[in-house]
Amino acid sequence: MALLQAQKALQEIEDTLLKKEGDITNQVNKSKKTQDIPTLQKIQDTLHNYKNEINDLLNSAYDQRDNVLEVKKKMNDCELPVNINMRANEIDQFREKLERIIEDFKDLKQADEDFDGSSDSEAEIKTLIHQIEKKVQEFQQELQEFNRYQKGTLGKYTRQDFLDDNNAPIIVDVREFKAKIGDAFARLKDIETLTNDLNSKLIIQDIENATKLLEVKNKKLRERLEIAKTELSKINKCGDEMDGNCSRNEEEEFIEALKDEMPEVFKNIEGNFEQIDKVDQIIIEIKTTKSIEMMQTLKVEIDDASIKVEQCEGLVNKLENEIIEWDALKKLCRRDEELEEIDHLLKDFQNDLETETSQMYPKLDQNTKKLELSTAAPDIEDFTKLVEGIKEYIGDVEKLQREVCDLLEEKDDCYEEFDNDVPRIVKKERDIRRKQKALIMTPSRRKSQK
Amino acid sequence: MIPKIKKHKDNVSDAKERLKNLGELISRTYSQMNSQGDISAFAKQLSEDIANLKGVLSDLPPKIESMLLTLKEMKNGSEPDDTADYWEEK
Repeated sequence: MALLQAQKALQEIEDTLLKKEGDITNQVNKSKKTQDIPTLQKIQDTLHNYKNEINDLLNSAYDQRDNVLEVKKKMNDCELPVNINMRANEIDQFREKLERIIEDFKDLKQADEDFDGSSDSEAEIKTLIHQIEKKVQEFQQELQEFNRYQKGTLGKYTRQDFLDDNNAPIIVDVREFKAKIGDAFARLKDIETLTNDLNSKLIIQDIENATKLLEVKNKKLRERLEIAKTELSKINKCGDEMDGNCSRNEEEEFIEALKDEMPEVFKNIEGNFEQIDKVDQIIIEIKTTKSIEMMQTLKVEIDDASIKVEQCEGLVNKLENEIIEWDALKKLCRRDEELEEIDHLLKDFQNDLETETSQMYPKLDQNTKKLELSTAAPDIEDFTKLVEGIKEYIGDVEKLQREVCDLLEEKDDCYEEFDNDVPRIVKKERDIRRKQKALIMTPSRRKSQK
Repeated sequence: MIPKIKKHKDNVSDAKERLKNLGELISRTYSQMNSQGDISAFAKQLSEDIANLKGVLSDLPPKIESMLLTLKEMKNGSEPDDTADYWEEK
């Protein structure tokens, strides 16, 4: 690994330097105490050799520094902005799931209020509701803490912090925060189990009330499935637009996987809608027949549909995270930088061509005059060739100038379109980049050569 | 007149000898100055190079340490599966 190699090489350089430094000081001190010319010349030769050796060490140290800086360049911001965005998305997913559970819980509480069961079952239900309410409060508090940490701590880090050598603690913070969110998300399962338990208890109490509850649940499942389908369609469209425009292998693999798997996913979603339609039919039948067997079938179908809808939502979350990892902002900034680079190159080229034409026209005049003044046949022939050559050259240069102008216009149009579409943050990054470029100074290095 | 001429000859010879010695002294001094000048220039150049080298040797190792720590944390963040922050880097 480059860094470990550099570390080892620098240690060796330091060891060698320590040995040499003492010898050099000795030689210099010795030169001050003697006037003997052969001795002085010997010291001079020795120091000359040391100079070359130290110079080699210095160049070797600079090489190691280049290697380290190359690694640093590759590490860039260590994907920290992307990972922080991922955390925001994970919090969002957590919030959505919690809100859905709270919504379901409200329906269940309403169902409980609508029916008076036996005092035993009511007591059990009330205990369960109390437990769920307590847990909901805890989760809501946890969500607030997540938001506070995301905005207050992670949100306050700047690009400079991400690029800093000592950014390891930020990586740890972001990773530990992921674990916290993941843990809370997993614990939502407990509250879901409690609400399912409450649901079952309410169903046992009253078949009519239960049918109503399951009808509401089925309606919500349909809504959730429709949202998931819309999100997946968006992701699929995004994949189509990205096809052929990927900048990394992972993205290409993702697009290929999308192309292969999405038709099957959409087919499954249609199957899920059919299942939800079937549940609606069962509910209608139960309302007239009040059949206990049908009620059991209904429960099984609803539970199965719930799992499938959750799988769809899980897929949406997973794919959304993958798209966040693409880091669209960085891509836009890169395109912006490339447009700027094109602008600089074209303007440099244009200046070169202008200099060339401004130098060639006087030469053309000069040689045309010489041709006019020439009387000897060989002179006339030579000057004619020269004048024709210069004219041809000027013609080529002017053709290039026109092409460069066309390219500049094309670039301006492209830039205008791009600039209108990109978010403000890309323009902000552009300003920062320009300021940094203006600050870059030529490093003084390798000035001492052998 | 003869002793006078002889004495004058001796004086000339003595002056020539002293002149030769003076020439040698100047030549030695010149060589010494040259050597000491070169030694001084080498010492100055060496001192600059050593200062630059020490600069790199003091700046780079802590930077490498920090970067290694960052990479270690990135590696830690590449587990347990493809949901990890640094899965690709693993």
